[in-house]
Amino acid sequence: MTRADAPAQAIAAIRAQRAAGQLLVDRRGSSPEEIAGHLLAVQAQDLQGARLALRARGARLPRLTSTMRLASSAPS
Amino acid sequence: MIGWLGRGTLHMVRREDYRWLLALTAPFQLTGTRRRLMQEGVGADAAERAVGVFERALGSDGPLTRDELAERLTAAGIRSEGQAMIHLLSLAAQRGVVVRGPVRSRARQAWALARDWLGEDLATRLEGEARDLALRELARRYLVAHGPASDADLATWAGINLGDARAGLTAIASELVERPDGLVELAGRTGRPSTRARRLPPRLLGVFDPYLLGWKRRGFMLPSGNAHRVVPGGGLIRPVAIVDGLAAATWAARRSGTEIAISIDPLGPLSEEAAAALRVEAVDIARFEGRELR
Repeated sequence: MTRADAPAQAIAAIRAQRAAGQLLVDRRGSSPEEIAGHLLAVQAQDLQGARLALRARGARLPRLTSTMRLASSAPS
Repeated sequence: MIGWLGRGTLHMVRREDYRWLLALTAPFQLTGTRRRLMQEGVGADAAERAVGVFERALGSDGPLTRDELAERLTAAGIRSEGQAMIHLLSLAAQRGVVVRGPVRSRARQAWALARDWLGEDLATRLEGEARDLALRELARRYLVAHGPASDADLATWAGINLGDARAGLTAIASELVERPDGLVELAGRTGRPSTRARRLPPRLLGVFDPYLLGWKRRGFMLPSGNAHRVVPGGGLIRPVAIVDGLAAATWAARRSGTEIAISIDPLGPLSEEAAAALRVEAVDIARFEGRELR
């Protein structure tokens, strides 16, 4: 390993951990609620973007209806 | 539900998290909201009167749209033109009075009285032990999805000051591992061999994705040479394709009726394997949106 490789490998390790923490590696999210709870908060001034954030982290999430349920604060 | 939290932008959160996140972050947001209202020509007194107008209108008539609430402000002689209305709604939300309520026909968002819609009054400030507990919860939950990270990362992401970020992390110090690089992570969640050894799968991320917003700096996933193509300025963060965790392309979707077309603009050379995986992602976006991929 060269000296230049060391920082690159350290950054790659940080990237891997953060991507996994973000559910981007194994898509563990089973529902929009679970994903939002895991991330704590998903920026949503662009609702389409927030929905796509959930999709990228879930295992074949059902289409928009379930994310709409989370987006609206409808009493449960 | 969606509300103004953290950095003062709209966030989607679980209902049970909204209450404490609002109470923890609203005091930090209020200064900025009042400043923006002043810029829109709405002084402090008028802004407080507007919150009262919202409260009475929603209390007597139930959920109302932005236009309907604007009419009430106009009748009360309070300015609602330009960006004033959205900042007044933001102020009322940060004061715990209103929340986003039902969506009416033609996707018109209605606003509701928080106590009617959530079934209880919302606190907009925490003190003492309750605040300490909230900071502890914030620090722990942040690290679950963002570790390893620094106190400055937490402060930036949550829109709180550095002292509070440090207080939250200190409160859970016994649960943390401090790394040689100064970052911290939750014990038991340190770099697992499975995530270190294999390449990270390509993903298409939408505009303002949390992966681009979770830390003070994006250098770990967005090399500086390409930063201007993803973050062009004006507060915009473009949709990106990540390959092995790195931003490898920007992408755009064009929707027309029941169809969607997705175009990918690589930031550099893209392997055939990665391009194929991103096409699979595009197919999944079409499925998710109930459209046909063109």
